[in-house]
Amino acid sequence: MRVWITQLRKGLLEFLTLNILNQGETYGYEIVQKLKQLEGMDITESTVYPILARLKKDGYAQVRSQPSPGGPPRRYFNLTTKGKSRLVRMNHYWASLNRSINKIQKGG
Amino acid sequence: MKLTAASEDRINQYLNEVEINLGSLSKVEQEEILDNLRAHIYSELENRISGPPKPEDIESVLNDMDPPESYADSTEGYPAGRAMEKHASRRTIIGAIIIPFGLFLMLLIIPLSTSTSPTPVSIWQTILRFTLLPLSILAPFASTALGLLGISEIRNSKGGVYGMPLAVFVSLFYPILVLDLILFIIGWSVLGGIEGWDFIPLVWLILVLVIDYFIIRTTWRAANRVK
Repeated sequence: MRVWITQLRKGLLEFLTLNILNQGETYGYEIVQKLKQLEGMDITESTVYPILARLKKDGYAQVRSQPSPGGPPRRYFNLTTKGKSRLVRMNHYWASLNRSINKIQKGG
Repeated sequence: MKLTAASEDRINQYLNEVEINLGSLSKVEQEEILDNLRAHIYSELENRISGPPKPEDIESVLNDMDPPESYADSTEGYPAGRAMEKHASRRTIIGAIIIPFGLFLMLLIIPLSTSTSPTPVSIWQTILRFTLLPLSILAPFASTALGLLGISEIRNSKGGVYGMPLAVFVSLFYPILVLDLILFIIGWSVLGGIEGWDFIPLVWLILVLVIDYFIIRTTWRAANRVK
């Protein structure tokens, strides 16, 4: 059961991160805090930052650095056009998967 | 927010430990993660403390964060960069290339030891013998070791490296060849003298093949066993 939950969380993390980025420009710390609040996901910074790095590398997200007084520059993340179109497809797939699961659970 | 040199050193120490655990990612991704983590630590400090942070504040923030080792686990499910590119096991390929050199050794030794009448040996044959001989002697050991290393490499790559059938073949080729030779020699010396038992060589051959089959099957299963 634990392995299944871990795999499911891993699969969902990118999906959730893209959805948070779709709400508007935000920085890493804020993304981690939002994801930490999700019940049952058990997300911490060591899972979020590798995902953000990969999203940026693959061209789904971009970063804007803003100088911060007395600290390192704050890094704001944005979804790119490529990222937005990927998220649209993911959301469609998620809706369709959700319908199928509901159908099966109801004995359809 | 102004940090003391000691506090900055402590943060850098944490980030260095994280970096060590990001080995499977590309350099660009590693830098991205470390930049974000540094910004994360400062944001967390700003949230908790209004004035200049003390060393114990830094320690408290770092203690609440994931341990550096957890970055190795969290990147496992998301192979990127070099780790994402699948490739065949190079060790196995080299092992497979080496295999024929060991067979060449037999071709070199057998004519020398079994010939009864002296045959003239040309210079190029002599040169060939002395250049290829060391490689031929090493080939059975090297190919077996490379095959085993290939199996280990493929198992540890979590799908990033392929070629398990070839790796098993390379690792078992010479051990099975030697075992078969020993079994045939034993069979020949023990059972060869019995008259009227013409079917014995065939039975012995089948027995050897069955033994080979079980060795290959056991190795294949062990190589593919989920950790």
